[in-house]
Amino acid sequence: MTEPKMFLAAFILYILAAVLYLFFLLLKKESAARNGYVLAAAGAVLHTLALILRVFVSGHAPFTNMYESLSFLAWASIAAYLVLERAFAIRKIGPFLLLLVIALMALASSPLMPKEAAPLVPALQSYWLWLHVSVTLIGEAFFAVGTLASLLYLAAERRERKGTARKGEKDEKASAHYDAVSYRVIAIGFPLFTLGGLVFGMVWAYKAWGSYWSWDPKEVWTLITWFIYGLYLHTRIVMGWKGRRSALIAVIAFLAALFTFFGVNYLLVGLHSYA
Amino acid sequence: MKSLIRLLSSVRLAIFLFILVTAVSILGTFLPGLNLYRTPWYLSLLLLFALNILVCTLTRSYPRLRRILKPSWDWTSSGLTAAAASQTFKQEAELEGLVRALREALAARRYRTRELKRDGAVLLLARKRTLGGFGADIVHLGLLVILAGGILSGVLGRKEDLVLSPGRIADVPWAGFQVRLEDFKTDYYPSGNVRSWKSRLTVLKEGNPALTRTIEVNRPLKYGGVNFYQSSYGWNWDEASVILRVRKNGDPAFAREIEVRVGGETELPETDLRIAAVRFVPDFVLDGANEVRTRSNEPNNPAVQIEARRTGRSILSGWLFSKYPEYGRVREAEATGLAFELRDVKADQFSVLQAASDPGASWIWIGCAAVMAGLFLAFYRAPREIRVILEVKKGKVETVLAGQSTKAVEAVRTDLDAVVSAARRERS
Repeated sequence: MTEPKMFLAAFILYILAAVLYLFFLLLKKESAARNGYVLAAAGAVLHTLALILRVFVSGHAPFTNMYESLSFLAWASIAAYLVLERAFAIRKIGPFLLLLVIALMALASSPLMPKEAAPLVPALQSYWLWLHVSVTLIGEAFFAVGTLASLLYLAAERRERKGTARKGEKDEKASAHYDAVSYRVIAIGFPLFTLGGLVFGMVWAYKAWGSYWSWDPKEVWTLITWFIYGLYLHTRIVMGWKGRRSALIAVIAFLAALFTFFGVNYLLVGLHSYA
Repeated sequence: MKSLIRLLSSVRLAIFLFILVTAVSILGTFLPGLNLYRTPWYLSLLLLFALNILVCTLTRSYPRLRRILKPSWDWTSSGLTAAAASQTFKQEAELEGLVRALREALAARRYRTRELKRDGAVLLLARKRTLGGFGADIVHLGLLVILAGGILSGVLGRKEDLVLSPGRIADVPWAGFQVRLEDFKTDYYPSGNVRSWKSRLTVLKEGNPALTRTIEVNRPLKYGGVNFYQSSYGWNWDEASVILRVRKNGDPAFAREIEVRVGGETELPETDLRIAAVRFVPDFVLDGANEVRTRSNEPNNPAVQIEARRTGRSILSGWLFSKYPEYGRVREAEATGLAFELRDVKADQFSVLQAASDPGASWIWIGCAAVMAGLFLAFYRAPREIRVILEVKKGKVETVLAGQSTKAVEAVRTDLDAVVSAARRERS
């Protein structure tokens, strides 16, 4: 199978997994979620093979243009979720995470994204490309899962406040669970994001551009994202914020991360013009 | 003074500064013209933040250190049951045996335990990953080192572009040595895209070659505290020459190639004409007002404006394009029967090297290492503490345990479960 076909197969498996997870969410069928997990894992295996094949075909890291980066972010998000689902008992995040992954995959497949494996421009010919981009995006994948937990918290908390908690669902417990999961997952992502986005970025910039920091828009937005996550962690750890306020900061922080990933490329001009 | 320190050590100020710095930074990315990040305002904001971090760290790390070295035993079983993660069980067992079993179970989970006897009760204080408690302090100190490194870079850093044609020598003004560019070449992929720019450099110390090295983007040369980066390149179009092919209509035998310097003129052999290259552009384009401009400095569409002169009088003029010969247009004041083609352009290529010394950089890496080590400790090695009180009550031992962790409550709960189930196996 060629790389585009594997990508497509993974995409289809993700869609089927999402359908099963939605069945689970709406009809409360545990078995649907278990099968969804298996399909999502199968999709992730094919996706991994697609990425490896891409590396062999192009001869470079699989995140040098928007198509590749979106595909890698989708892969990292699925991988992070598959690891976390069991550990943190967060099955209900599954359907939403899969919808996010499907959105990323769809965006990657859109005709607007050039898919050809182009030879690397001189600035990208470095092993720091591997380290800088992969670690950053894996950190962002954890942020994605954490943000979904925050959104589920907000939904559960709202039901709880309006007294419309579903039958048999102890929403108070559910909301507290999502609140805790959101923090724990973001706390895994934060060191990774710092290492990949800021530290590896600075080391590479020093080697390639002769300056570890240039106030390039992508750099500044990475710093802004880092500040907002820093705010999230400080308000939580030091000031004991929880619940709604905390969840809102997590959502804003993820929006900043998304803007750093997409928005900067299309709206602001700078040194990171290739990625 | 005291209230100032209280203000600077307050988390509220930190939260306020987080929001302010974020907002100002966002503003700066949308108003690039302001160059906000290099203004004293922005720097003062960062320095205030640094001061806040410093005072917070100093005022908080000392009590934390004290708590760890000289723990307080001032807790009661009713206090422990009120903790977020707490367990109580009663069982018929020997007090000593149960204490030993608990200590073993705690040790199996890698806790280090201290013991205290008080009024017939036994108190255990078990801790794990104590160093993790200093993670945040290490992160904060690392950030201060990074900021200091940044200031050092800004004050002491030197940077200069060296524009060099092959064979030329440039002085590195502050370093006391020179570099000579041996050659510069561009490698291409089969598709025609640039693969690399390579500058072969020789370092000259007092005129003598010290070493020769080829540098590329991502592969700088470090010598004597100076880094040399492949930064840019270009062509010296002002001193270019064009190669023209001239043919005569109806005379296939007449084909001449002449080289004309831009701005100069050359005699066309076997005629009484002199050909001038009036103007050259590497990337020809007509702007809105129909004026000739160059779109870039790359030779994407080289074009030359020529003139044929007889005794100083222009009798023919027009533009020739090397990539699009069919678009060449000349206007003749007198019929000459000549056809012109732009065959080639000769221009020296130069390489732009950035020479940079940055004494702040090593501090940045030290600070980064500290930040990462601190984050690792704080989030992946979060400290855990378990407090236990054992008391004999009516022939049974009552054991109250409480787990405590700011960042790993779930993990402490799991530890508690494991320790309790191991200890309950201990019977008298």
